[in-house]
Amino acid sequence: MHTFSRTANNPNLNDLKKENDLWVNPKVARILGIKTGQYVWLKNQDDVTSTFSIKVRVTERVRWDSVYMVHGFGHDNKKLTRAYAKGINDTQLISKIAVDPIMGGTGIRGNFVTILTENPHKNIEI
Amino acid sequence: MVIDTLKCVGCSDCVVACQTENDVPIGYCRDWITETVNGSYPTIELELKSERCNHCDNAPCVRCCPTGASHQLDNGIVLVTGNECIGCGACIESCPYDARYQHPDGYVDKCTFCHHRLEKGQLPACVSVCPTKCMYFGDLDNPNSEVSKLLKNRKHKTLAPEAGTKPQVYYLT
Amino acid sequence: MQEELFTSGRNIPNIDPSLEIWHWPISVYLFLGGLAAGLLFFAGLITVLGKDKEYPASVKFASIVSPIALTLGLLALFYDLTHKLYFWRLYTTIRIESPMSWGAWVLLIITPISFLWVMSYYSELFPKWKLNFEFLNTFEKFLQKNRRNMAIALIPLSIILGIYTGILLSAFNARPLWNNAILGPLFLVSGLSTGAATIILLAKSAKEKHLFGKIDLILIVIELGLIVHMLMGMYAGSEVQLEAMQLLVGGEFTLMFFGFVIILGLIVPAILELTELIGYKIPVAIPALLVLIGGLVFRFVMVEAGQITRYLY
Repeated sequence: MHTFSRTANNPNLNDLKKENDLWVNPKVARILGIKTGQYVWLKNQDDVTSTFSIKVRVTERVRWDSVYMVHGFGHDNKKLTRAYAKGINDTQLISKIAVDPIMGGTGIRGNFVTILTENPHKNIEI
Repeated sequence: MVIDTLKCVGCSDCVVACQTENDVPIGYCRDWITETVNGSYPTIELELKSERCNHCDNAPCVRCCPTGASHQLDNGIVLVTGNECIGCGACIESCPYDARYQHPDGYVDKCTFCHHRLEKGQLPACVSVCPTKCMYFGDLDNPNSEVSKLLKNRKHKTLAPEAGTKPQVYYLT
Repeated sequence: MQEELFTSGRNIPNIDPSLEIWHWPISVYLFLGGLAAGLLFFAGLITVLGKDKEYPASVKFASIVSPIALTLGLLALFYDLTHKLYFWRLYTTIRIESPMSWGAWVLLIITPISFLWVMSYYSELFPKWKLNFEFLNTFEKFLQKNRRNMAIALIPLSIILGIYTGILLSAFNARPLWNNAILGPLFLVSGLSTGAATIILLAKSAKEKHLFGKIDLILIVIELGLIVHMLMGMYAGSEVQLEAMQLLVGGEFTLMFFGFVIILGLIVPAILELTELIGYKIPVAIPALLVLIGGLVFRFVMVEAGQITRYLY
């Protein structure tokens, strides 16, 4: 729906899709006790926590060992009035990369996340 | 109108094109995309459809309008005359597809198959911007038109046929 | 699992997630319309049968309520329109297929007649406020002479007014809770029963109270039968009708429907009126008020619950 991350603040497109959803497999949702519409936070293996929260969509369209979200949300610039703090930024959670020494290609598939149902930022002002 | 559900990717270009072409206020839409997922991983069936007013042959909205603002033209297109609409909301209650909405100016609005573009010989806005070319528009009464040939050759369905409205938007499955 | 959602994020005000186009003004109008229909029906019927001297409350006192009810109902309807400046378009055409058009025309005819009816009883109702203009006095005498004609006109008009409110809802084939043919007679009987209850409240002689108590009892029994009929019809209907049924008997509206409409609004007044007929003394105001409240809550429940039921999504 949006183009990369640069159309997130567009009035027409933002009205149609304000934030990204986290696609969670129903088996995982049952184990963790989360439901569609609930807001969760993600933490990756290097203890980087997402700044904002993301809405859950429990769907069969994703495997039980992965979650999916659309790229291009979670903007933290307050000047993007419509897109600020909606959804989470997936690149923020990519902290472990392997760089090919010859051509510079980046391997980003070594990042794993945990789903947190309670706000980890409660004691800290963003 | 005939829409091929096997080619629709759910990009919502038709929604935005309609909003810009017809001055639809932000927060309202005349057409929308629905996604239906059946089954459990890994055997899943997914269907993406672009839905709008179906311009039904037996339109309940035309039947129950007290002022005649909701009327049907000879070619089957259902239109609303804003000046005659009193905003009673009966047509919105009677549409099984929830295709109508109350415009902030007071009258009731819906998809018009881009009537103003058809008069100039162009296609509706949604059909002309679709990137996968999954939407076809034409005369169903003409057996040689593209839409009639598609309906003859492929399996198709309509939405909620049990509501008795004889909708005129067909989905190829 | 099955999942159905709007990928393009549709969130039209008043339509998503469930339809909320008609609010309290429509329910209030349906109640007031039924009430006025009941009152005018009984006023016309008693006059045509020639018994207007024996039952003064039903033709005189209670019929003050009908013009007030009709005016308040029309104001509520006007308030609910969103394109108010164009309301006169309703009267530029008669569309036979639209029950709302019938209703607009019937209201246009019956509201002046109800005012003229009260006007014809003016000197008996308001003896203290004498009319100062001579032509008004002659007008009143003219109306008194034609009272029987007005009564004959009122009977079919009030029946149409009472039944069209139900037919209006049952003509919407997109709302499974409303789309059954019993709704028309059900609303008519409910309107007649609320009219009879008002007459009981305003009646002065015991004979009149007893007669209308018996009439109200019969109407309540018929109404209970029609409600049972409606529920049975929906049980035997398609999947969407079964889901609509679940809202009323097993869902959010169960307490309001069974508690207020059926038990407090129909069964308890019936038992009270039965015990009154057997001989015990019960203040007649109680069953009458309960019937009125039951009628109002019934219309609220039907309008609110009906908009939640749907065919798709």
